[in-house]
Amino acid sequence: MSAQRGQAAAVDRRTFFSRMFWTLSAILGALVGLPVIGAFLSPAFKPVEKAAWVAIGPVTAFGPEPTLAHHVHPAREGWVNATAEMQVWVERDAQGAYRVFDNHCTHLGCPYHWEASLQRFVCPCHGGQFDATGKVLAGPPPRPLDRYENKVENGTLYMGALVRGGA
Amino acid sequence: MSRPARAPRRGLAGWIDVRLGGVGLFGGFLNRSVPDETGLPHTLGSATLFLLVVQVVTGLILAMNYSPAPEHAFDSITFIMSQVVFGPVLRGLHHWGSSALVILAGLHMLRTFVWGSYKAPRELTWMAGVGLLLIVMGFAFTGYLLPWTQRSYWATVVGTKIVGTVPVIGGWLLQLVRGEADVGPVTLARFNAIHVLLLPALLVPLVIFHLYLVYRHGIAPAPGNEATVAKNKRFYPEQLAEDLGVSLFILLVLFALTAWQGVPTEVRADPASTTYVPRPEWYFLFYFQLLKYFEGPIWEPVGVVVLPVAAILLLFLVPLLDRRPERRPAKRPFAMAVAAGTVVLVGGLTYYGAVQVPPGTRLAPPGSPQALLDQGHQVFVANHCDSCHVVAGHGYTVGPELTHVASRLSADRLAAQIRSPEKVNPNTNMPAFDKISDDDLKALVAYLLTLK
Repeated sequence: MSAQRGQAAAVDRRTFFSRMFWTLSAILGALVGLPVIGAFLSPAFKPVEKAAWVAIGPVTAFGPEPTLAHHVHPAREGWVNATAEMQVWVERDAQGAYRVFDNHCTHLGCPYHWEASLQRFVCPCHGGQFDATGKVLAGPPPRPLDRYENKVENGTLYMGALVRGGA
Repeated sequence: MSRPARAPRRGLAGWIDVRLGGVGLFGGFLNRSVPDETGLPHTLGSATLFLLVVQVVTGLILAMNYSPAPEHAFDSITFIMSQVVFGPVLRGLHHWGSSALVILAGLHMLRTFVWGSYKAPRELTWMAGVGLLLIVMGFAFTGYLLPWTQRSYWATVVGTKIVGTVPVIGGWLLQLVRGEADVGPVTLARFNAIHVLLLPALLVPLVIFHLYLVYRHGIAPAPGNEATVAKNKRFYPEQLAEDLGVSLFILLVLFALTAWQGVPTEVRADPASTTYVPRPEWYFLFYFQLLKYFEGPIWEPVGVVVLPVAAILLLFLVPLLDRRPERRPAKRPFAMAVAAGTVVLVGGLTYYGAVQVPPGTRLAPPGSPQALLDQGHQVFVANHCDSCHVVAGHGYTVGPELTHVASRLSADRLAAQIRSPEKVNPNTNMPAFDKISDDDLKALVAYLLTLK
């Protein structure tokens, strides 16, 4: 009888320690795992930062004929603060509104240029052609030129976030 | 003799066991009996292992957001602390975990020594343990440089310089450790590679070897209990539950330190600095202090080479030098005296190393003008002013550069600008630092006034 009771006590003891072991395992795993896995997965959920307005130059520098504008573009990537030279095509339409084009062809990313004699943007790589509003006129590009949002303040033209061509 | 037939396991465990045969070994590791007296003192080893796991997994995330280059290392640490989700928690655990690891590994070793558990047949377990201790110290030394702060840079300059004082081959050794003549980009890349690639590669097999030996020889019974040992306690779940309880306690302490102490803020490394007093992290302080007593061309090499090599060798050979089967501490007065002496010596040297101001230190006396400037610089660093202002080439250009700010602004104007910038200029982007105490503000302004 007492031996049976002893056996039962041993089983109880074992069950108790088993439960404690698994509970503690779960707590330890959660305490360490949550921050580690959270930090690992977090970049996927990071909201894309809204691009800051960057001055390209005085509005007087840009006319109806597309102009290649050079400016120093500040870029912060992770812990690196880098400024890079940047080029964009700027064009003023008949209504006086500006268009700021990313200088890469929407086909495979080659830099294109304005061909004044044709009044077209021409990409040398695969013969893509666009008109002054960025619309595809010839060649393989799948969509119009990518643009940057822009605004004019105190006589200075600013560029903002990138807008996919056709969007 | 054929082995007794065993009922084949079912399910997934059975599938794996048939193919790998590992379940039996692993199950054997868990489903074994340990001496009844196994208890709290035996949790130190598993707690050390748990801390190693914490260091590895937190270090993994830190490494993903760290750049081992002098231009970027400090900024990437700032990135971890400000941009990475859970970054401060993970860095805090890693920082405090390294200290805890050194303490626990030391206590684990002391417990093993006092109980005489290193004696036959467990000599190799002890030796593998000494190897693991050296690896932990290697982690501590190389990891210290990585944040590229004043403290870490100068501690490494001095720490590696010690190697350079070895007679004859010192210059060669110094270059070997640093990878170049001075502590610089090559040293940082080298230390990083050792910390995140070489040492973990050595650590893992040695831990497995150590654990295999623990399993093979079982946990040693209490000293003097060898003949009559009763093994009724189950390793799983009884001892393991205790192990995890202690690990949880230690983890909570690390979380508390992270929450209340954080990781001490430090200034970016400045190799041109002439006033900084290099101090190693506390776990190397005893050695740092010891070297102060070894001066001159004869004694210095003794302190630098002979003593540490002899100490490590002795530690390693303990089970071969002391081969008497007697394990009871009371019957081993010499061994106990050596252990107590070592504890007192290391503890005492650490204490004196911590309180003694090194000779030649230009530590400003409290209340002096220099002390005020030092305090001001600390306030500047602690409030991350360099996140928006450049001083002498360091910092970001969100706000105006401050390298010559004292030529432009008065003390009153500076104080007003810091406390309530919107009152000085309604269009400012600068946040108000209205939580800074009057004392700190005075010190900060005094520091800024030196920037002319």
